[in-house]
Amino acid sequence: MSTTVVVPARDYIIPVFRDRDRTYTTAYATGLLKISATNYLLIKNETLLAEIVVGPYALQTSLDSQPSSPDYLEFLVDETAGYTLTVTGTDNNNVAQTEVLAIGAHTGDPVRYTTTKIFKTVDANGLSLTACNGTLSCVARDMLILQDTSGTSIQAPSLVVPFRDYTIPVPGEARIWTPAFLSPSMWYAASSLTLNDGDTITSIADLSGNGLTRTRAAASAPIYKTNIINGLPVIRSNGTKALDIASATVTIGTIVAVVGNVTYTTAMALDKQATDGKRIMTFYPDGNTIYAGDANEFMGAAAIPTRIDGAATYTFSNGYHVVSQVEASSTPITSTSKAFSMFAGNTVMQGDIAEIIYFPTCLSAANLSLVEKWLGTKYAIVVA
Amino acid sequence: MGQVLPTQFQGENASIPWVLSFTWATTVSAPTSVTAYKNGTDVSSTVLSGSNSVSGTNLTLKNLGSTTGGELYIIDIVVAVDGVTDEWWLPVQVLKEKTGKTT
Repeated sequence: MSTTVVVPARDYIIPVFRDRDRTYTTAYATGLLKISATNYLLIKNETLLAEIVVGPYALQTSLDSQPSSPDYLEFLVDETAGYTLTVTGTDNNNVAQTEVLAIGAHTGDPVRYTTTKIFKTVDANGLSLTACNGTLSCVARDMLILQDTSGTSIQAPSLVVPFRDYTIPVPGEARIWTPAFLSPSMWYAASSLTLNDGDTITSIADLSGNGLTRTRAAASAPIYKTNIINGLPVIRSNGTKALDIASATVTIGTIVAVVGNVTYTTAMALDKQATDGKRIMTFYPDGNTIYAGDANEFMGAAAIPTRIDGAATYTFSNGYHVVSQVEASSTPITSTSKAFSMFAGNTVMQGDIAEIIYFPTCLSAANLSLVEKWLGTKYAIVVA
Repeated sequence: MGQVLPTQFQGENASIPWVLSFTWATTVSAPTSVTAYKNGTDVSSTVLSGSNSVSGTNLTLKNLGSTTGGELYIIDIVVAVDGVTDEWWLPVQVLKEKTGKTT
């Protein structure tokens, strides 16, 4: 008989709770283990499944990637029908496990559903959905990784605990996706203003973080109209007064704009500048519309506009692929443009813009769809 | 946060220096304390003899002997492993010994 007892390695996964001051505490034997902010690395949501459109039929799908360490899975769901999501995979000990999430139908912002079990892996086709209608994405919950990078143990009140790359799931902050994730370089929204109905807009802040605040003299400034699109305000240009949207260099990129349907007959457009007839985007809204496309997609002398990079052009209206509008008399922008404004050629644009975002790169179809859906949710506009 | 180890067995007339093998560790220090309990009572002075020793990552405990057959003893070991002071409990079930006679 052996008298030797092999002692198994300890499992140092411990629950922690986060305070606002980023102090983490947990009950640990004889006292509280306090971990200072310099001892951890907080990994924000790790994307495991980029947003996909699901439905209308039942389907099975897989994660794009497995969590880098066992973790709770958080599903971000935009769903109008409601369905059951079954997650099949393995737990921290490689034991098979399944969890069923009941996804409720809802409107408005996407809703987060988090597993109550920690998954180390999710099987191929381990996400099984009943008939549904919406979108689905998945992240691992925020991860706290404790590291002893200096070789010095973390001091606890009553004992010394040398942490080395132990990974701990922690309650995470809800992170709602916004277009800011795609790093726009200019972003203006009437909803960011605090004005009264009919006030002139002499200044509007750039929500991209680039500080491109636009100002305009009151005599030529557009007006602020409240409660126009889904209860939200717009920038209204009446044909004589418009907003100079930006003066930063505009190269090839993607513009997404929420425009309104007003009774004006003049085409709505964004232009390079007021007088050269070079339009960047022309809008023919049929009701409140989300337009999206390449920055110079709507313009050009040729019958079929071309992008600077020579790639195929795509234009979307409320998420639907539509034929690009062409201004036959205008000249394509071939390099850069110094401004785009609420002008249509020599004519000041007539119409409403609730929000406009410029991305300095051509967004992928998936990312463009995310922006459209985000705006669609905000302004109650149904997008494809 | 202590950890209970698998139950071991020894005969009532045996005296065994149980060895804890920390195969995953780098350093094992001399134990802070080794205490034997029977039914929650410290019986170390009765059942533990000799001394604890460390060789590499193996911790050899004092001899456990002078035990009573049929009783469960818990050896409470507090030791620093890789600098972490922690506690392990080693249950030892003492078996009654028979001579082999049928009557």
